[in-house]
Amino acid sequence: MNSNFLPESLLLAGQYVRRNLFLTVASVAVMTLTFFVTATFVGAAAGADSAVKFLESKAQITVFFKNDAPPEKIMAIKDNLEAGGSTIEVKYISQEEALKIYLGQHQDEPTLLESVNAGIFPPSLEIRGRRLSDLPQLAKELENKEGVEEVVFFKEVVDTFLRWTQTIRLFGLILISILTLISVLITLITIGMTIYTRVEEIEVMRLVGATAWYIRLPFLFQGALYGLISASLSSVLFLAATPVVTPYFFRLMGVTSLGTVPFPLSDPVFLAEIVAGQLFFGVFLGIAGSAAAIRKYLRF
Amino acid sequence: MIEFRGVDKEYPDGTLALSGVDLLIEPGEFVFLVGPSGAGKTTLIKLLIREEVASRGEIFFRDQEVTGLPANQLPHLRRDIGVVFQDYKLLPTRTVFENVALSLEVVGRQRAEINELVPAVLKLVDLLGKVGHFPDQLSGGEQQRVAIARALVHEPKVLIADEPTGDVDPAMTWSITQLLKRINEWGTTVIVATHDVDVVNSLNKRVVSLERGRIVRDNPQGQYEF
Repeated sequence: MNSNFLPESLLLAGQYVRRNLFLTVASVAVMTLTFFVTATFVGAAAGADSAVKFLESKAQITVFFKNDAPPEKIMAIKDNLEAGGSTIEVKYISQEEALKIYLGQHQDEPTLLESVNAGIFPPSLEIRGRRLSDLPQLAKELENKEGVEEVVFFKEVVDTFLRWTQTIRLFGLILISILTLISVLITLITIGMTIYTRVEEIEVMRLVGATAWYIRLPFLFQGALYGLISASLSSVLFLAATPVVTPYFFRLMGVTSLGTVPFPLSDPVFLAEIVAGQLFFGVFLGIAGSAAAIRKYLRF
Repeated sequence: MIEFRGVDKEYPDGTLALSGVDLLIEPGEFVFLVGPSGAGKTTLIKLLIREEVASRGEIFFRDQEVTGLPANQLPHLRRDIGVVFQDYKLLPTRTVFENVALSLEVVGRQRAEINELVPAVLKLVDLLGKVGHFPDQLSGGEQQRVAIARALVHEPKVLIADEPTGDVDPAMTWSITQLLKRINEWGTTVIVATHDVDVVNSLNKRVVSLERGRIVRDNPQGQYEF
């Protein structure tokens, strides 16, 4: 390949982009929307994963036993849970330990400490499950155990969260697929129109000895340029929107009540990965659209 | 150098454009292809550069069989044959310089080389003063000379001109004829398809006469006879 080949093709691609301004704007707008939506859903999915880890780090199920429940029965349930494999940690809190925790939490409120003794606190097990999605089933099983008074877990939070996670994933996947298809189609149409308006030039190029790749490459670069411009615009939009939208996102999912969730979008490395991913996806999508147009309209 | 062996060209609608053509052209020759419109002159040229494919027979260019040439070899064939098309095929959005430079760009010549060769060939066709003009700003004769410059700039082994004097005045006809003669004298094989009697008779070169797709005469130093 001649050293002039690539720069000449790039120059020609730039010319095609400029001379089809209306189509360029249309293509770039649709592709920018695609990449922005994709980045948003990838960000949301990463946020959801982060929230999953956060929720999993909490003691997720607390099983309160009747005050007269024999400790050996409770320990048997504990051993059973640990052997089952669906838990990371199972901690036994005796009545005395529960009293200590209570005293520690309310040491500045003397009125709440009056006439408090270990007898009024039920013994309990604090359980951290391996997977958030297993919690409802686990809680149900524990409720039926002998001596169990009450099973408490963040049901509301977990249910809402799992519902949102599933919705985000499904809706995101459908939307991204549709927009990706539209982006490829609009690139195909735009490059197809460019090829159509240059039929004469292409014919002359062939007749004076241009290779097929000499003719094709500028069109591939044109598609790649569309992708690159769109991905850059989308990245700027995404970086600008992230700090504004993030708090609403967590509020919507109902996980902020449990504390500050560590969010990957405040991590510069993750943001750089999102931008790099968009640029790569952009170039790939642009080239895919061009390749489809070349296959359809440049048959030689 | 160029050989047609029993070549037929039949179009899908049944039109027989060429029939049983046998023709041998040696390197450095100047050959006129003459005949009335529809005789098969342009078809013969198109078959040689594989713009069309022969229905039967074989065509050789420098020992290479053209009809069966794979698609990826066609650019190399076409770089060895400069063609001045009947309708010029100049690109309206490109300047004179850019139109001529196209032949060099497609073969990957360096920019510096292009900047040197294009003005040289434009000087040869007497168009140096019009490098920045677009085709629609030129006369028919000037457009014809741009087409010649484009066909010539990459120094092909063969120059083919299809009706090069079709739309030009007598003075320009003479100028173009002399230019083609000069190019041939430098060693390039020149094939001119024409039905211009004066051009053919003025040079006293080999004349191959076509009629209804068949070669009816082949005179080494002929005149236009129909």
